[in-house]
Amino acid sequence: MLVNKEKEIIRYVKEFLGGEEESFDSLIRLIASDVVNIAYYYVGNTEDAKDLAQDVFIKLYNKLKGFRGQAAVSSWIYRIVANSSIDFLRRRKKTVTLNEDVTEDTQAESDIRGKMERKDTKEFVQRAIDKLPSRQKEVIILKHFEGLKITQISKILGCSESSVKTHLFRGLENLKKIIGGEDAVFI
Amino acid sequence: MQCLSKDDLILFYYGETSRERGEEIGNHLKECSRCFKLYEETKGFLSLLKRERKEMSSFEIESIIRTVRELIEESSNSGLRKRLGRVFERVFPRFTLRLRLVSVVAAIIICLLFFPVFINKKYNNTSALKNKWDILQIEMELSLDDEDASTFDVYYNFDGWDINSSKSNFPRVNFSHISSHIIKISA
Repeated sequence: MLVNKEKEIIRYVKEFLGGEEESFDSLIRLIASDVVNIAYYYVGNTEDAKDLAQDVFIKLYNKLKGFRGQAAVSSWIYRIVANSSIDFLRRRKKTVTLNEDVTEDTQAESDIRGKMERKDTKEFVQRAIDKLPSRQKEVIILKHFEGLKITQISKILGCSESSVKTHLFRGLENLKKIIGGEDAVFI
Repeated sequence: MQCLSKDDLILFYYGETSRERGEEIGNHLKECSRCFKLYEETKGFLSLLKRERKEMSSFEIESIIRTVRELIEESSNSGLRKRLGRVFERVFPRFTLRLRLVSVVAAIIICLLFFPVFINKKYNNTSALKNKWDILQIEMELSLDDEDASTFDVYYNFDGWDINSSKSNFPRVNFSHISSHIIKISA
């Protein structure tokens, strides 16, 4: 978890801002697995998660020089991962829509493939998470998968604790409905 | 105590309740089978969502670092390209991007076309000098000091030892012989 590595992250960031370029590589070594795992919850596959992690590190490199330490670095990294993931999903959604138009004829084949994939529970759960509205998804990723406290999530997302709780309850309810085969009501 | 809501149970599962509230819920679950069953269901559903964390191998992390470094370098180079573009824009303000590219390519082609001509001219000059090598040779020899010149004279136009004018054993030069010899060669 990124929050548990806060002290080490701050040390590398300070070294990097002091001119030690290699410290950025050390920072990547420290948090790469965390960033890829969080990215995975958003995008649903390892390859895309790795690509996304690379984007995140480039953004981090460019933005670190302007970082003034007004917030915890780990919270800031979570924010960058979340924003990058949402952008990535938007881009992918466009691509998928185009691909769907092209592959209309192979719909039956993809249905069969879809059923086969659904046998894998993890894949199915991931697909269910993908269907959630972005805010509910963000809260569930940070709370359920990353194990952050509600107070930390509210700081990362810039909203109140009660709002985080509401998104969490609704998100879990919707997930239950999707996995249970009912139509989710996105409220 | 009243029966627990789903939201209470979710917060209790995540350890997001206060200590007092947590104790109350724990005691209630021991007493109320209905709430206990609901809690077990909630726990089962939330554990279904759990996913094992994927740790990246050092090879994967190093590969990410390499790619990130390459992309950072690339982006800094593109910054240089932009700066060069701005300089070019100042020099040729009316040129469009395509026109600028065309002019640069044309300049390169012209340079390549004329390169052999320049080279050839250079070599022609050398051959012209070679043709007049004999004159050059004489000019060089004239610039030599007395003793070297005397060697020349002895070699080309030795008339005999001039014992009176020489304090050394080396033959002395009679420059009138050399000048007459130069005139002959030049003719």
